[in-house]
Amino acid sequence: MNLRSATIAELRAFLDRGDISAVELTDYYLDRIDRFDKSLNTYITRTADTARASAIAADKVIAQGKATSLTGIPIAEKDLFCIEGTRTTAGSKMLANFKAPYTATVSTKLANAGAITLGKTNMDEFAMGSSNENSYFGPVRNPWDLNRVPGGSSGGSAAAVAAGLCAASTGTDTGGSIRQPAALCGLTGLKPTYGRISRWGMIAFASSLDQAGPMTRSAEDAAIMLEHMAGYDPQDSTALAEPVPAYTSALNNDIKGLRIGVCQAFFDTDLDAEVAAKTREALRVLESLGAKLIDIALPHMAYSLGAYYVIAPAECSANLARFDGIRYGYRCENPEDLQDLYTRSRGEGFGQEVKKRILVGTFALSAGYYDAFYGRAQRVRRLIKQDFVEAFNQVDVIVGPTTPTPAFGIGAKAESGVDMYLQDIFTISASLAGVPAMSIPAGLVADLPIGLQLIGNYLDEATLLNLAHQFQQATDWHTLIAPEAP
Amino acid sequence: MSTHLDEKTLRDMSVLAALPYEPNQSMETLAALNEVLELVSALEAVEVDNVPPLAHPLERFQSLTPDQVTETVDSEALSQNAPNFEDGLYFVPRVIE
Repeated sequence: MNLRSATIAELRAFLDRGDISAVELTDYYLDRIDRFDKSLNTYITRTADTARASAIAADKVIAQGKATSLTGIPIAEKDLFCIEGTRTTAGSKMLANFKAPYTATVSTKLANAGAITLGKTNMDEFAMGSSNENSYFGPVRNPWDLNRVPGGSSGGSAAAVAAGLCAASTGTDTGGSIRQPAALCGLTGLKPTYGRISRWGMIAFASSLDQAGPMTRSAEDAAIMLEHMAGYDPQDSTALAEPVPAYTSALNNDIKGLRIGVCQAFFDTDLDAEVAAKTREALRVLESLGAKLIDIALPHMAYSLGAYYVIAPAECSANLARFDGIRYGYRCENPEDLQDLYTRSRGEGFGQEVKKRILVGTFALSAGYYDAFYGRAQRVRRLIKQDFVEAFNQVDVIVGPTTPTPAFGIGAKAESGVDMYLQDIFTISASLAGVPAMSIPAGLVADLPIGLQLIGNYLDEATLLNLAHQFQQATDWHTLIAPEAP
Repeated sequence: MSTHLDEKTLRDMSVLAALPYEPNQSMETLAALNEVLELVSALEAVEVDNVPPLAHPLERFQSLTPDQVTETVDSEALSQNAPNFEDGLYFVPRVIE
């Protein structure tokens, strides 16, 4: 019984056979958190007491033979999901002492399925970042190399799974915040179709882009998590009223004849040569499994970054207006008057990147500039969506790299904001179009993991997971263990 | 659309965003913001005259629910996070002298 490398599916078998109890499994992860998290900094808040109480309850359910696929499985939640009575910070000084008065739908669903929450994971402040260096609670270190970033914004969630400090985690993805850290930490990370998972109780960054998803050790685990996370929620008016398929049932479908789109534009940008070679190698594996590779074009992909950095800041400037130092969150000392209270509370409570994006968004939405910036970006967004609609008339899945490079050094890109933004150059277009996309491990470059991005048609997560699972049956990149957390 | 922010615009945006305008950091802030606007200026090359804006990625209407009370707000629980709350009131600096 190797717990360090075990997937959710394997842990399920251990628990059901009685090889280990949920309490023992929870203690195993809590002990690893004690040992490794001083250097990794993946958790902002640990919830050991409630985790042990949940584990005791899970053992009773297992003994009764009523376990779901997640009963007794210890997971971590990105600190963007509200859990009642638990500190929920969004990685910000603004919410450093905020205790959520209610629980996010995703967290409720996972808890109802019997998952055990070990704690809340570190992240870039309000999910704005690609390295986890923007957290008020300090940077997260990559368990593959402690001098490198784990990616972001779900960097704590990614590093915690990669280091074996939980069996799986939740993340959120606005422009790549699940897929990019999954790639840099050697994980499977899935951003479902926009609206597939409820956003209720998930602190908002950019509401037309934000989507929750699982971060796991395998595609099978992602399917298990998604079955429990997805579904309509009357509390979120953008949650899709669509049935949730049994994703795990489709994992072993034959992929012979599956049409895979390959977009040359992914390879024509600043893509590291070794990452490109590994991506080509992965495409050959898929071809050897019977998939057909077809060249496609996404002519407006080059404009994704520009459109995103108007739309996301515009929405963030509106969403973050609620943090005023009055009803909740940080308040400055000795305000002179009401305006001073607002201004200084926000100035002292938000970090530099958040303030920068609020200012960009405020400008893009301001009188005289709205049409030229926000209106134009939303029109370009339609063209990007149409590219995907046309591509999916020809192919079933689009495959390419997740990131231009493997994990970079801590501090290496901190001086240049736009250089950091280029990390998401391959992931942003799927976010703008709202289509599902995932990253799976596709090899090592300089001993660091890299990701293969699979992009699917609307609501077709099942095909993505099927393809990812079949790739993982033919390769073992997803089974590698991060060396700094053996 | 190729726009560069100047100090006056930065001051105006800071007021609109309820963020402090810090003159000693204004050059640094302006440089960072203009770097983003430079990135965004790539959109000028796209012909969008007859393209309607896309507000919802799936172009669906948001779902509606019946106008019925389904839960009540626990004001006591909500007030726990307020920096200054007493007797059902959020306290702020005096507004009217």
